[in-house]
Amino acid sequence: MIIFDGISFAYKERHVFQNFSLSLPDKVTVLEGPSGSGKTTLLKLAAGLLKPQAGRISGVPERVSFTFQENRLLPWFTARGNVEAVLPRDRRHEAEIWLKLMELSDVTDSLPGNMSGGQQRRVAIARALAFGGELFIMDEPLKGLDEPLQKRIVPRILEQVPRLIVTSHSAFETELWGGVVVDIGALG
Amino acid sequence: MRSTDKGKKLIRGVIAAAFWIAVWEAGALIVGQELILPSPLSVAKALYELAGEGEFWILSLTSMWRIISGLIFGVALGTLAAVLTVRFKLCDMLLSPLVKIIRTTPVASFIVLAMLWIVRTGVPGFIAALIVIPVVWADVRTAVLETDQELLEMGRAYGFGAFRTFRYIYLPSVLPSWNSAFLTALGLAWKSGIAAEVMCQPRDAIGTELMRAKSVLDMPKAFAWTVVVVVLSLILEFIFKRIMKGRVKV
Repeated sequence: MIIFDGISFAYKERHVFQNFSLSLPDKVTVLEGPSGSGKTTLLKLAAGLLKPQAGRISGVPERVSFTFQENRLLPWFTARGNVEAVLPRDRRHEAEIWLKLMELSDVTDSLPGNMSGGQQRRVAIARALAFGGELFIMDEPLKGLDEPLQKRIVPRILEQVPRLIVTSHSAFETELWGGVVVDIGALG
Repeated sequence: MRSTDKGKKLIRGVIAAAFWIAVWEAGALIVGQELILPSPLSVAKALYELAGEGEFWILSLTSMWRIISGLIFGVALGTLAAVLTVRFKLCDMLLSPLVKIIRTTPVASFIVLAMLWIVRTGVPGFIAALIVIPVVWADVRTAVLETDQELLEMGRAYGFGAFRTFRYIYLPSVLPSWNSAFLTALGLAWKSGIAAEVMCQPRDAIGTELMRAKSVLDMPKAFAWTVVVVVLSLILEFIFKRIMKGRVKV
């Protein structure tokens, strides 16, 4: 169980959380809420990419795999290179497996700049899956993917992840992920 | 680049060169004095005669060696200074003003001082290094500071250590700026290095020969040595571009 216990966080003058508490007990947690409600901040706090100015966060496993809201691919590496970058040297051959799982076999040697937005998004997901971990945190992972594709890849992601915190922007996505739905906007 | 594009580029280059040689020839005809402006033909003749002497190759290679050593040393120091000033505030506080002073001080002042400080043969390389350092420092420093913060955060999220962060993020981000700084530095190293040779007159140096040609009013020879400098600089630029081809991608 991941527990946010009385946390406070602000970007300079803008307070995002003040004495905020939340427990995320289940395998899959879907975070909802309007833009600016603090979903991304909460995910980054959980992953340790941001430190709360007050309060504490517990129950976060040591290895966390994070998919950012932006693809954040290394533009000078191919799709394969981007996945290989997070793998240890002796497991680099696995990159193709993860890319194949994301239906990217035909673009493994393409640079991100030569791929569509949806393909880039799936490379970012493949990279997160390849990195592995006890907890997966995904910020709008389905952004830019059409519905049939979302339907195909969500079960594959769910098969690979032991625990997942994911943000969703539509009822369709929320339903696909299943799990417990937490509305950050309502809590804040 | 496709072969047809290469061919077009070559033709354009030949046309441009032919145009300026024609302008030069016309200028030489109008002036009518070899002492002031020798014709392209007499310069080519002087160059041909020079190339036939064994000493010419020794002089050219010695000058090139001095300047390249200075260039490499200057690029290495400039890169190191850039990294240190970004990484450590104390280094930034101490090194930044020094590099700015070097950048604004006239080359001639440094040459005069270097002639007092070090052996004559070491002056051209020293000056080349000194002139190159601020150029490389400024470009690399800016590139390191402008490295995409989102990629660096991604690297932290995926547990990139120092090596992976350098290899996968910093190096590809900085390489294009470093590459262009190197090309600028190459030209500056030649200019300042030859200027230092002209002023301090070391043995076996293009600059010394240039000065000697000027003192005996052998202008075709002075022009020929200048052509040698330009050609050597272009050859080095070509070699560097070939080495870096495919390595600089953004």
